[in-house]
Amino acid sequence: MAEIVLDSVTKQYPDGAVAVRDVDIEIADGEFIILVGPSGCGKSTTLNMIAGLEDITSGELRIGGERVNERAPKDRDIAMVFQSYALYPHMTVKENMAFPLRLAKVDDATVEKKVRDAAEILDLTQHLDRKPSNLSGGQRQRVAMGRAIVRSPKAFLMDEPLSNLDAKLRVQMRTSVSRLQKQLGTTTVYVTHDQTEAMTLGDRVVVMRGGAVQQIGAPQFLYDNPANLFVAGFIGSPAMNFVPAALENGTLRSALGDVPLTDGVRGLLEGAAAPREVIMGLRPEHFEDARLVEDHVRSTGVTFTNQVDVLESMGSDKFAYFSLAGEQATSAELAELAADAGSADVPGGGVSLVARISATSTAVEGEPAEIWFDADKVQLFDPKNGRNLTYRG
Amino acid sequence: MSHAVSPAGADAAVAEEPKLSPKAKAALSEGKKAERRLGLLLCAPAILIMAAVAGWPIIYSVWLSLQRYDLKFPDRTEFVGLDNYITVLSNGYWWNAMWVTVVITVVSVAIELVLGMVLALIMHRTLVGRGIVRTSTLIPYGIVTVVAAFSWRYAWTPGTGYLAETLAGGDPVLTEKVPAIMVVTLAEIWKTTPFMALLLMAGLALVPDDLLKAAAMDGATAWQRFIKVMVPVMKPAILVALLFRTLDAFRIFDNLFVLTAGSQGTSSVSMLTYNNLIKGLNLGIGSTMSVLIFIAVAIIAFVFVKLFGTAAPGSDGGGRR
Repeated sequence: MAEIVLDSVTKQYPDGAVAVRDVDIEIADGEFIILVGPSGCGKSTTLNMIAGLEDITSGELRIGGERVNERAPKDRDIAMVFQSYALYPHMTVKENMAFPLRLAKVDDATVEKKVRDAAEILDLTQHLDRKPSNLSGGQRQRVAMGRAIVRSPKAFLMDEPLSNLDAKLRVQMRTSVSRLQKQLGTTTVYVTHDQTEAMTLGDRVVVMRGGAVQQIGAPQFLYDNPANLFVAGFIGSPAMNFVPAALENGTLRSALGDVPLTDGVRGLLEGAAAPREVIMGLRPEHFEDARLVEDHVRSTGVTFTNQVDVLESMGSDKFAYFSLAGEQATSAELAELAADAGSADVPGGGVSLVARISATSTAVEGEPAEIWFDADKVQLFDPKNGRNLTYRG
Repeated sequence: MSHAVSPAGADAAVAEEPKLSPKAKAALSEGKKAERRLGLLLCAPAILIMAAVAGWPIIYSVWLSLQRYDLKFPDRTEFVGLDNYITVLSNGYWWNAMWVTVVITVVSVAIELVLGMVLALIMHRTLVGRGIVRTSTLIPYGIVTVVAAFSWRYAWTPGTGYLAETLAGGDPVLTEKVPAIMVVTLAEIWKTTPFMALLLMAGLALVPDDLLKAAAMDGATAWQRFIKVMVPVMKPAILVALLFRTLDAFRIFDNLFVLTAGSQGTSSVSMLTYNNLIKGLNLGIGSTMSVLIFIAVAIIAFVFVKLFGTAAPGSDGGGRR
């Protein structure tokens, strides 16, 4: 076990393309850290550099206080779980798990014991003599984990280990990965493109975009205080709503009506030298059916009336979808998020909003509904550089 | 559904009947039957052609091998049973040719495997000028064997050949048995290593990158990754390459024909067969030798195919569907 430090680590390919730029991350001993971002953001490259599978162009990587830039993967004492699991097809489950120990010339009795122990933890005991081709996806995934844990390495690196599993199994394995990590207390770096995994698994989350770190923090902190539009849009499902707005004389004019600014927000905006045109961000859960909001609360927010396009009942709550007239919020970050989600070319003009409202709401699909939102929860972003103007971090 | 059931085991047999009955096989649906008919129909032309160009000659040679049939004495043609086989198998020339063939086959294939693997790894790893590397590697394979064999012959001819003058010190190496076999083997290796490399390179492409990365993370050195991961995973490709090359090498003819023409006891079995069949016009003995070569080749193929059976990844008993 050890802490891992990335000190302005950069990866530049021979053709000049920069995959990772000046990444600084300090991972504490025993910490579970998640690297998250859309494809091509450099998260896997960063992981491969920690593993030693890719060279570091500049900067320093320290594991347990020692510089390891020049060390081969096998000399770094870290284990990796691959998205494809990378199980050796010609070996049984037992041989797969014993492989790192055999290479390390561990004696037979110890190998046997360690493999048994790992198999027990991962519930693989009855499959030890089977070949990977005869295992289900979930079992293969567990064998891959087993191969990593038998060595008790300084750290685990996991490269999207759950993304080849079907949805239900993924949720199940997510909890077992989390439990396993707590049980073993081994420093873990976990790469995913799935923000749900990032939110649920990690002690801290590193959001990356275009090879650069956008923000590092605890999942809840990132959710509540995104440093910029990209993080705001990436973390959370359904995603944050973005509406273009203008600051005029201490109020915020938008398609949802005029939003009074609280003193706190005004102070932050002054400090941040906010421009006139901004993007207003609202989480779906900060909306509510106005009829269910008590009067004294109602005055702290804004109420607007709009037609409900689609109403989805999730049982515990309802998701109401609206479309507002007017321009859509535009920025480089939002375009990239849309491209990553595959929604860049989905037709539909205007601003679309999703509100998470109480299950007791009587709103009806296709008819106007009165919706309230909490003005205090509004986040404002600079459309030019994506910076969060109301960042409280 | 009616089977013959012995009185003693009647109960047991009746109880197990649902499992044992071949009903599943018999009760093919109409659609399945039509599909099967179509399958047979589509295969028919190929089967007919193979029967005409391969099946018939084989049967005819077997028939010839059972006769005394010499075109120099056509009147004395008669059925002699296995006499020709006894003649050939008790003949020193045949066994000498067999040994020469086996030595050339084993030595050349073994060296080709090692060299081919090295070349395949180089071609697989090369990032710059991949096309040039691959093309230049394949040149020997692209040259007509007889042409290449002639250039080897001239090179080893004392007086005019650069190899004879430099390496052999002016000795006529092609006129002595062992050196001549070495030269033939060398020519064979030079000529067909690229083919081996090509097949092995296809096998290398079967090894996922992640597997090698995983092995590196697990602590394997480059050599261990090669021996413990790459080779086992590409074993089917290695066996295919070995099978093709062994069968080819066993039938060696053109290199030998040009380089020594089988003199000084350097005949291979194919060479000997050619001499008997075409030069000696002895159809009976020649056909017997052809049939023996055919049997030897079939045995080699059978052994390799048996090896394949256990080499296919994931074929461990239970999991086959």
